[in-house]
Amino acid sequence: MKFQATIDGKELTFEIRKSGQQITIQLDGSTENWDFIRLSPHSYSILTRGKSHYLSITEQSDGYKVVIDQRTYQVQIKDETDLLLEQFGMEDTSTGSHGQIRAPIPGLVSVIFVEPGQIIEKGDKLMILEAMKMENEINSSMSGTIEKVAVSQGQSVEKNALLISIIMDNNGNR
Amino acid sequence: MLKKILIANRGEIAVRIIRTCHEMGIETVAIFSEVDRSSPHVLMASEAYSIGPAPSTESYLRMDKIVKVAKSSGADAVHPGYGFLSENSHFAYTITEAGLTWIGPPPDAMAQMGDKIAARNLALKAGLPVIPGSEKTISGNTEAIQITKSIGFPILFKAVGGGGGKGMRIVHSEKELHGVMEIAMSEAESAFSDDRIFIEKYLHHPRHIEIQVVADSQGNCIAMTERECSIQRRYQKIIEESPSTFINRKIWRKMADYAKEIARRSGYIGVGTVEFLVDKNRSFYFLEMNTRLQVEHPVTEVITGVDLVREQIQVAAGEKLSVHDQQWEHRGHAIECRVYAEDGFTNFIPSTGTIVELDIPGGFGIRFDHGMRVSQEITPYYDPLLGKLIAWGTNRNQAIKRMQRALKECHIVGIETTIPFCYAVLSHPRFYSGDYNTGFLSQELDNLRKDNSKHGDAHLDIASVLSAIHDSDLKERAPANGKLTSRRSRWKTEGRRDSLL
Repeated sequence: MKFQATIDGKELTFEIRKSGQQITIQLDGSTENWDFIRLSPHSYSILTRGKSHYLSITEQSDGYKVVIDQRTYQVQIKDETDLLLEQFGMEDTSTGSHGQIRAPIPGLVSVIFVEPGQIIEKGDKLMILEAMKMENEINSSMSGTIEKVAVSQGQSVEKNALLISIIMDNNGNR
Repeated sequence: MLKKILIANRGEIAVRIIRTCHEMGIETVAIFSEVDRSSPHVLMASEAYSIGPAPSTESYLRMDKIVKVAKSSGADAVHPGYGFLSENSHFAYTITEAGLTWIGPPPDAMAQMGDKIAARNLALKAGLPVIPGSEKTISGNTEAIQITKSIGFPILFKAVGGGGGKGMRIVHSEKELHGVMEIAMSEAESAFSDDRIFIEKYLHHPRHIEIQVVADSQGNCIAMTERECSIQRRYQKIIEESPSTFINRKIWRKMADYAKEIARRSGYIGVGTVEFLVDKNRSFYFLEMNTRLQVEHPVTEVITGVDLVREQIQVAAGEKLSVHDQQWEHRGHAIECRVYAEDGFTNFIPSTGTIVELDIPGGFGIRFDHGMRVSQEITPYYDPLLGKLIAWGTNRNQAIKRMQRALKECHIVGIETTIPFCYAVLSHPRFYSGDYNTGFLSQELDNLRKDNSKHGDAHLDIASVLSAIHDSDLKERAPANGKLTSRRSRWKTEGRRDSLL
């Protein structure tokens, strides 16, 4: 099966076949057999040409964060179905797609810096979330226009609560 | 000698103290809040008692409950650890009043050092170099302006009631003075219930170097090898090492003598740390004295072989220090990385969740002080410090290499930690060369981030995708809401094709 993925914004296409824990990878015309096992709900071990790697993985709002040898890989995956839809223009790109900023931890919203309609860049300051006795700056993980601010100043939020929804830019900047 | 000690703390420091107590044949009493029933310090102590709900104001900060447990359990002493009530002189008085031994400095010395202006004035009297600034609390704008006229901008507002970067604000010009002063006062009020502030000249990116002292009640006092703690974010340390790459033995000797002098003048007994800021010309200034066991004390322990908690307990029991200045020496080099439940690359935002997998590094020269176990929930109630990884080497280079391999061995899965961040710092050329100061993280954050996402091996790119596919696949098959999804498994689709072939 063909997969397309984005790693730290870089496109990567390859084919995978699986039989038990043996994985066959086809990349740039070469074929490799890997041994791949799941250790826990958040970790994997992989042997690539005998080389041993430990992977820990965390799901995020816009994909996955994978840590290998203490280096971080930001991964977004697409499979054939998604690719097909995209080719037929089924993905609604005319108005931009919607993105969400969620609370990474429970806390208290102490300051909000943005309002609906405001255009923001990736990395812009959105709000301050107070937790663990610290003021934590919440920055935007995407560029676009603020659609809605779902919380108000002084409000306590649970982990993963929706803070802000954003209409993302059309240029695919995620 | 003491027979049973109550540890008024939790997490890694409670575990660390319990270990030494048990080695000394002393029984331990742990206290815990509702969310800490299965925490390591509770499991490890000889006895453990519940003291209330999760918020620390209802548990670990409740002096009345702690004293009650100490009395009813038959403990003869209380060790406060660091944080919580450790620098609260009123708590120290309360413990002493209850007829228990306080494992810490005399309450008067704590109160004097806790008041940053009193400490500053004592340092001046003892002949220590201090940063130019005000000798008393700043009460108004006019007074503040007057002081800035003599010392010049930029200046720093600091809280009289405590440290840790709270209530600390830089002012660059007279224009912003008044506004910033109000912010500093309100921050100081909310952090220490004390809105008093004072002024010090702002030093641009100094180095933070500190001296460990230990004093007994018989007039003996030792000052040990310096610790350098310049890798900081928001004035909070994250990586420490000893010795420092920046100062020589001659400067250390001066600092050590000053540290002993201020300890002597304040009537200090126990372990304490005298902190200095060092500018680029290697001129140093007294910053403050911390009247407790420091988080980074293991760095000193591994290069000197002196168990500081043991000394602390013996001295509190009225015994003599077990080492003299001529008896200890440092050997090799040590580095400590603080493992916080935080994402170092995203503004150090705290992370909560359950630890699902835990691989503790080990091997020669590695020490990991921590308070974690698998299936433990990391809650937002307490300080996010999970543990401290300490590497020793015969020289600095070896200690760095050993720390890097230990960081690679360490897997704490289920929450974000500062391990990848520490790894990036250890791999940075400026850290390696020793050419860094307290401005390091603000200057190098982007480079550290880049280093963290630097991928040399195309296989690892695919491996990361593979794990992401597998995980998303499992989640689709077993959605969290329990409803079946119509979407077919990517793996299963593949399996079906395989069987057709």
